[in-house]
Amino acid sequence: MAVAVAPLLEPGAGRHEADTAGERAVLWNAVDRLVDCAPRLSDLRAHGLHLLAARRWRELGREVPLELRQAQRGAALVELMVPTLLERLRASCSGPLVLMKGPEVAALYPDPAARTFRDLDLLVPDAEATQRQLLAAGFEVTGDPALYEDIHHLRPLVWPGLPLIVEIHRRPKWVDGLVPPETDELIAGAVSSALGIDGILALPPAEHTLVLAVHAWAHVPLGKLINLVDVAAASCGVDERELAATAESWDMERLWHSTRGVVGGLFFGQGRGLISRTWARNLRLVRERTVAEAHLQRWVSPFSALPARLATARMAREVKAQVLPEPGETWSAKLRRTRRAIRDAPTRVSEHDRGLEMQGIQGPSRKGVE
Amino acid sequence: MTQLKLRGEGLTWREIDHEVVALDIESATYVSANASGRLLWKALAGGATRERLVASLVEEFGIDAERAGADVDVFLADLEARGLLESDAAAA
Repeated sequence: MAVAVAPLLEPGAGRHEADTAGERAVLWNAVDRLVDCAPRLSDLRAHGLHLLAARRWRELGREVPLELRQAQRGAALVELMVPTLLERLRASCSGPLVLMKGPEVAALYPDPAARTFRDLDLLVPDAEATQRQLLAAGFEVTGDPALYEDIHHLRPLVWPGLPLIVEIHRRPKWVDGLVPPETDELIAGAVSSALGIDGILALPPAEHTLVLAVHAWAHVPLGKLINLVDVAAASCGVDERELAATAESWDMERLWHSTRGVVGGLFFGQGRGLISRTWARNLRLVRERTVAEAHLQRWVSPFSALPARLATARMAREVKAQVLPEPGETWSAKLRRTRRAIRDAPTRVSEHDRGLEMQGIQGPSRKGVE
Repeated sequence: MTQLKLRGEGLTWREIDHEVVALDIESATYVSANASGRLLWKALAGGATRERLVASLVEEFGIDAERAGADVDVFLADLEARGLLESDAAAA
């Protein structure tokens, strides 16, 4: 009887795994170095690195502050809840459930409880039908319904007594101006989740890396280091050519090129590009963005993620929004805010926002603008 | 001697920073145990007698058996009240 041993002995089999492990070791060493150079705990928190810091400090024999120990306990509980909640979700509805971000990327961390998250993002073929099934099974809706009209996911769900939120997605969250890949296409290519729960799927590594990259730009562009750690962790062992080809097919080459450059500079010893030397220089300093950097980011970051014509229009919109008073705001109030913003240019955005509140100055509807 | 054991169904836990954090899925409540509680918890996860639990506290923390016994009784009563222990019949 022939024994099919050839695939096991194929040259290079195992080398890929070794390369991936090597890349991961480089990544986590770089993350440790970033944690070590953070000026303040509040900066680590702002970047979502506080639990990785707690882990690092414990390894170094440093005292871990009570607030971090409590945060670790909370994160550990969330980690314990995830399998139970996913099994309950799986039992409560039919059709594919594709888990994105959150625990799926946390599984790539040295300790999954060091990556905080507060919700489970599930991509499904028919979000409305899935939501109905889950409601019928005992899940309950939460949050203001007005916030979830016509966005990428439906109104969040909870299981009574459990604090984790479930979001049923019509599509992944995407950057305004770019078009997300078809949900059916993503689901068709889904693979088993890293969590090993029957019936729970995940995006393949390249696709998941790109979804995470878009997420890193979707709220505040490259606003949090933890989102870039996610991208780096998911990309370990993934062929660069596959990532580039998928980014091209999704029409997001510019965004991916920019993200890849920043990730390479932060974690893999590559050179620092323009982004890391200008509006996102705070990342390598593990510091919250300043008012000046936040302004610069709003004006120029679209050019790092969007096609030139769209980026120009976006910049014009941002400049207009920052120069003119907000609806209902007087010019004198606007000038007070502007003077304050100029004075606070080197100040962290959160401190600037707090200063505005304490002085009773009406802040912008978009925090950190001015 | 009665064998005591943590409930196997609907109870999930992990160690973190010399503590145990546990989630009772059935009641959606959580508990945490400090360093001495962690020692007892881990012993109970595999099954242990009261005497063994007392001895482990004495060995680990160098306290006298009387105080260790009192601590174990309080801990077991708390677990029992929360329904986290298997019944005697099931554990035996």
